[in-house]
Amino acid sequence: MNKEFKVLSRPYMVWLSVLVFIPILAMLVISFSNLNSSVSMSELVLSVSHFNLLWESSTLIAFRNSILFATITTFISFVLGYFIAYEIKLSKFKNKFILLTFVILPMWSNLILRTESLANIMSENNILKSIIGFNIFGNISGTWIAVLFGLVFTYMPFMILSVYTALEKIDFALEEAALDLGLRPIKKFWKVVFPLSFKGVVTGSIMVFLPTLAGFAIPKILSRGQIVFIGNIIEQKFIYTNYNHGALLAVVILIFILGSILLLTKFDKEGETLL
Amino acid sequence: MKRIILMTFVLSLSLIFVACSSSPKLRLLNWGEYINDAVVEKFEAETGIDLIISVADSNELFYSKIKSQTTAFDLVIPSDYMIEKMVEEDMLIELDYSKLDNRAEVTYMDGVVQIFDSMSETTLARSNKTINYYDFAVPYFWGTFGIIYNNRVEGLEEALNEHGWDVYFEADTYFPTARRGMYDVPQFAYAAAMMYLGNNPNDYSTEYLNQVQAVIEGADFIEWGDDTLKRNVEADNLDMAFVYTGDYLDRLYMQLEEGKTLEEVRSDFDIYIPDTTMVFIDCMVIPNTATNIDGAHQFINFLLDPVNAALNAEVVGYAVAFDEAFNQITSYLDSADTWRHNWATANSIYYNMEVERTFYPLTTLNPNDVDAIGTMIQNVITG
Repeated sequence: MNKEFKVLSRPYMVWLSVLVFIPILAMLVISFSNLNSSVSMSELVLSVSHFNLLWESSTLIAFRNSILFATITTFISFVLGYFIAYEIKLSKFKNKFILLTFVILPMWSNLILRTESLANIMSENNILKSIIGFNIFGNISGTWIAVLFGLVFTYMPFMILSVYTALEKIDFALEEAALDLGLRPIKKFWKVVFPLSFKGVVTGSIMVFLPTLAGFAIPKILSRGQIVFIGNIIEQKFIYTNYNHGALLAVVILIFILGSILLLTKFDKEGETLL
Repeated sequence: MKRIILMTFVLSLSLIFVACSSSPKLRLLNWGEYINDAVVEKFEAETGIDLIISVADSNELFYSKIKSQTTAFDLVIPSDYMIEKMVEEDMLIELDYSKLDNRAEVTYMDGVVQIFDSMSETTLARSNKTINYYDFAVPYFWGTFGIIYNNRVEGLEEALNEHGWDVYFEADTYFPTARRGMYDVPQFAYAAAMMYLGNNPNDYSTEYLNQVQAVIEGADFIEWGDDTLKRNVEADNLDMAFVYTGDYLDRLYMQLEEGKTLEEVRSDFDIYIPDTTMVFIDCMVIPNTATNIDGAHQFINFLLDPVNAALNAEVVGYAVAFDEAFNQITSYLDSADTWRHNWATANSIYYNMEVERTFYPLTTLNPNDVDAIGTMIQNVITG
């Protein structure tokens, strides 16, 4: 039986090595050398001349934007998302699956389409204004509020789902015991429920933080090209076929991602949560 | 179980055979929404060739798709500077004009000839080589760039006509509250600023770069977009943007189809074409990876027929490249058909060839300069 599982796991392992490990290796080589389409393998030289890019003011600001927005988005998603998850857990509604479906309902439409429509109704003159006569969002298109709103709106469901999974796993007997031993409900929440669900919060944070950090479509559309994330710079570099610069920045992002996964394993030694 | 597997195998094989019909194929690499389906059908009916169209959305993608050779394209439609680059790297084959009978029947428009001349000039200046681009390329569409503007803003039209580029770039002096936008293509922004400064947009130096940076900072752009620019001006969310004239015509045709009149649309938003402006040309070229070279020539010859070129222009807002096709379009000025009448009017207004203009096609800059321009633009945006 064991052998069969091994055979079945092979396709994914092949896929992983061909389409993930080898490209990452290539990315590392490209970012630390002068390799590009007009340089052949034999002329390959270790080169760090393009590292100047890292100190360019636009690169630094883009990194700052990515990290800042990712952090704030994660925090807001945590605060708002946790209580939605908790509400769903407490709800007397029989079919909780339906409630969870509502949470992920926005994901049923394409991300770009959703963001473009959001950009539309956030601008001064838009389709909603011509129907109902006033602006729901005011004229926030192109500002940081618009970007933050779009990010939270897009990624909060990930937080809700992972927190909900963790909350569902908590044995109700523990909560009963806490109440029996004289804790008031609010104290029970802080002393029993929240610590037990913390792993879900960590997983959810990673799932919100990473795509926000590396993303570029949402800030580009909602800020009307005015707020630059590191993903936007990488995109530009690849469009204009400057692979060395693009790969270098992608490697830096990779370091951030590895860092946050290490952080995750620190909280989640048994690997119980989703990741 | 075995039987089921066998059946699926046979079924999928037969599907593959059905998909490969026997007629010869022509693989065209084109821009999105850049060919009239009627043209495709007519070409396939006349020649029996199966036209297979792939789409890419930048010249750089065209380049890497041909370079990587994953698909052997027979025909590509890149723009001016990319054709220069492709010729320089020996990626194109020379056209065989004995297979292009229709070439003798058409006259290239003055603007097109200007662009071809200018491409040869920049090549000569850059690499000391004399290249006649007619040997490699037949024009598909061409067009100017202009400043699309919101005509609901009082006085903007008059100011643009009087002061041109200044109105767009000097936000302190003209219309400080106007919302200005720019294409997020760094070389376009650089070229526009260079023309405002009275320079050739294809010249590059660090000194120019610094001047351009100051100019772009002065314009106070609130949007760096692409197709969003034209839509935002149309929707009254932006007041000025530097775009392809075809971008404007695309929205214009759309609104005409929705039943508005030309005057109504123009009073909402219009485009101003400066006396010195950027132009582009897209040409049909045959990469040396092509397998159906004969078919590619047949397609080029087909589109050298002014009737077919005009038919193609019905859905694409750019300018046709031949006098004969242009004259055919403008002959519809007296047409009773409203759409044709409007189409002819739009062409005669926006691609008016009577006006003397200086046209600059963008050349291919060296990668380091392109990179420096890109970084400068990013610094302005984040600054």
